[in-house]
Amino acid sequence: MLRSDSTDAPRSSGPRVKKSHSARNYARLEAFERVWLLLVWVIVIAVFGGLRPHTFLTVNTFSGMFGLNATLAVLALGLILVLRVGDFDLSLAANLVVSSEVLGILNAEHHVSLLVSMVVAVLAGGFIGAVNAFIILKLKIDSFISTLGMGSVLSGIALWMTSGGALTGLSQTLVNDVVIRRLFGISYEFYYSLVLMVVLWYVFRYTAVGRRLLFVGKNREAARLSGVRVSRIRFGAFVVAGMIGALAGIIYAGTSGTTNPEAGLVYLLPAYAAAFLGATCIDIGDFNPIGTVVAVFFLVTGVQGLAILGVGNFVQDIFYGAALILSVAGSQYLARSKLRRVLVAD
Amino acid sequence: MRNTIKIENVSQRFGAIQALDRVGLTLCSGEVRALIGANGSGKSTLVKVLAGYHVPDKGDVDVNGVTCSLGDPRGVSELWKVSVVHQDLGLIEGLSILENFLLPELSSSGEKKINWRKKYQLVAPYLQRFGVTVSPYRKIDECSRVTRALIALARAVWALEVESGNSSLEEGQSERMPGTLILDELTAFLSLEEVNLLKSVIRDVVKKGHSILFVSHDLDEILSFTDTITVLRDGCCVADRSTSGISKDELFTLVAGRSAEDLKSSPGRRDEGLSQMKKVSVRGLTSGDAKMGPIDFEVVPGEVLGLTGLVGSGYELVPYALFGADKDATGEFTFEKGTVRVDRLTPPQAIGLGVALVPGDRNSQGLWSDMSIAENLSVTDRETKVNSWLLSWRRLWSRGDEIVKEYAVKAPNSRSKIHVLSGGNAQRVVLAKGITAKPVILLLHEPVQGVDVGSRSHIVGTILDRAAKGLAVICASSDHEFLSQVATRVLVFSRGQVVQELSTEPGASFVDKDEMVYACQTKIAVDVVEV
Repeated sequence: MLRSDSTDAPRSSGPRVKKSHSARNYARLEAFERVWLLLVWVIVIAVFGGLRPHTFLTVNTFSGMFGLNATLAVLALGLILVLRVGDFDLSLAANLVVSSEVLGILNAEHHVSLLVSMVVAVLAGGFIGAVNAFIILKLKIDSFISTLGMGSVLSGIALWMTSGGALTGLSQTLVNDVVIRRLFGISYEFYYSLVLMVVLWYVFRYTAVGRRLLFVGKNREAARLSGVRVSRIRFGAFVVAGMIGALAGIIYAGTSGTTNPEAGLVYLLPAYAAAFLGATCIDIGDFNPIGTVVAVFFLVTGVQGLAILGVGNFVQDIFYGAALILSVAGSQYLARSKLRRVLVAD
Repeated sequence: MRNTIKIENVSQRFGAIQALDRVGLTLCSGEVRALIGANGSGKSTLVKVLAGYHVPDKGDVDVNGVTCSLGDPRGVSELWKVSVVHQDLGLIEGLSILENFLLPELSSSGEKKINWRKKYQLVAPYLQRFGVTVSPYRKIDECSRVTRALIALARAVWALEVESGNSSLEEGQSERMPGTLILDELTAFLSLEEVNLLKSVIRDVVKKGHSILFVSHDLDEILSFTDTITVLRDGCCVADRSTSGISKDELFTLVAGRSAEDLKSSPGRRDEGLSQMKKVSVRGLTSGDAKMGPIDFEVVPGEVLGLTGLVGSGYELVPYALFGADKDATGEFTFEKGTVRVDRLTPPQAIGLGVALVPGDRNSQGLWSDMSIAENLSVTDRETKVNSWLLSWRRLWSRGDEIVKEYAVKAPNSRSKIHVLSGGNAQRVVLAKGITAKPVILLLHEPVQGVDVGSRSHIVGTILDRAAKGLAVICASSDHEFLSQVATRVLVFSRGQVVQELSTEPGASFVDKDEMVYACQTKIAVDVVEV
């Protein structure tokens, strides 16, 4: 990868340097650190496959795992946008629910065309993001607290919008294009999440705006004094994350064929687990789209495998929660060991 | 009784790098020993080892003839007490002086109920001996920087004198464990007057029979204040000398490994045509907190204008106000592109107009420590972009490498992360980052703070070179030595106002250092008389 040789090579002034051997070892170690999650994923598949070859290693299991989890992947991708600028959005899952309800009400109840309904839903998601950003930037309230509150407000609004029930009667076109139609045996929605992943990867890596997100997230004061429009960047991140949250809502509606004021909320914690786990690989230490998507499917594989082994549903919650804690602990450990390796004399 | 503590054969390896190689030093009670070395010389590692934060690969300590391995922290702690005052002082804002003072004690002792009144009666007179006259019930936030330093110092000395778990303090205890006080660049953020106050307090501490290890970059301070000197370079001890009979040039050569003559940069030739260009004139500049201003001054392109004063006198607020980083600042300045109102200026606009700022705190305000040198530079460098939207990584790395070479940053290439760089090298990167924005006005705040002597002369050279190319440089610093190497005019601040303008004596290239020191000290005195 592009930054693989960046850190270790010791300072030329440093005392006594043995370069070649340790440098090569270091490069190898770092390459491993970048892809460790992929390797562990393969091992996990192998273990479950070994234990239950006939139920786990089937086309159905895999097409289900990849095809039915795009909602989570898209939501997690929206999340990393906000995490990358150093903020939190705990209302994004509720945003997903509200946006999908907007889509449902317009399309199923009022028979507005699907395209218009989708556009309105995305705008609604962006609007919610803008409200979040306004509270955080203008009222100067910490994003963790303000979005925690906003999440509850939005859940209430979602219940009120549909009087607590599920909405059915969504356009069949949506259901077809999200989940029914398949490419290589996997529903279209999987590819939508991959497209979003690639777009975000490109934006983060090659555009000036994408770089500024990282500058703001890693050192806000340095960014401000370097002429980065910090507030504008944070505002933009919340709005776009809100819109991506709405896209996750649309995929959610398409996958289930209905909208449900409560079901979407369960995605919040897995999305955070995926985002933080994703930050421990590929671009280590940074919330990155490829790592996030890998993490989503790693987590989903684990849950699916445990379900096939016959472990009860409760294991999902334990698994996602533990993954979140372990990924943060692991990334801190990685950062420390890395620092130790590069901390030379000073 | 005179205690002698001998540190012997300390070695420490970090990966491929030998941070310390059989280093030794002797600490005698009643003596101040200086520890000096360029950034990356192993100084910090040695301090960490002595303080017991870090167990070295090898090394012994010999206390009055009893030897113990440094690998046995418990054994060492039974022979010898060490307490450290770091540059950041380790005081917690929001807590009272008393709570801060007792922090180490409260965190370890098993007292069930704290008798605050009794503690107060013990601590208040103790603090007074150190010149702290503020009530210990006041919050740390209300204390000036020098008071904070005194409190941290008093706390460290208290830790040496008080038996663990027993706060009773008797004058002239019969048998006390030998103690060493380590002052780790304590003076770097203090003004000269504050340093002098500290020095007298430290002298008192020495009289009580403690030994002191004084870690500093400041050659003058070390020469005027210490008894013996240990110089580290590349992890080895290159000198162990008595301070008397060592000259500043000699000390510089020991630290840098090269003589001062080699490093002196030729001052850039000034293009006469440049001073005809439109000058920068600042009018009515006032900081948002009203601690500085309103002030007026002018800078000519090609000139380095120094701003100085005692810490807190307001000179340090000027660069931020002119950059639009101080949101509530007011005033205006006129330069070749027209007149700019400071209250409406934002940092992005300032950069767009050709004003660049190199902030004082490189770690928190200037750099992204876990990103590479090239990425750090790309924030302000328009050349790394294909157009206003897209970035070229190839250009980013090659531009970075060019700058690493140009500024002689000690790193294999521009992919090195900032946190592997020493302070001096990181400072070169911040300076380069300001200059790559292609400014016409360059604002600097303490550009050589905490920087080793080699980087210092390099930075001096860069500033002079840029000024000679037509940049108007405004440099706020309390380092008079540094200003006397770059500034042709210096404004002296006191209580937010310019109280004196110093210019270059005929025949000299820059403003005289002693003149600046004198001005800073006397102007404060005059103010006090007026009040």
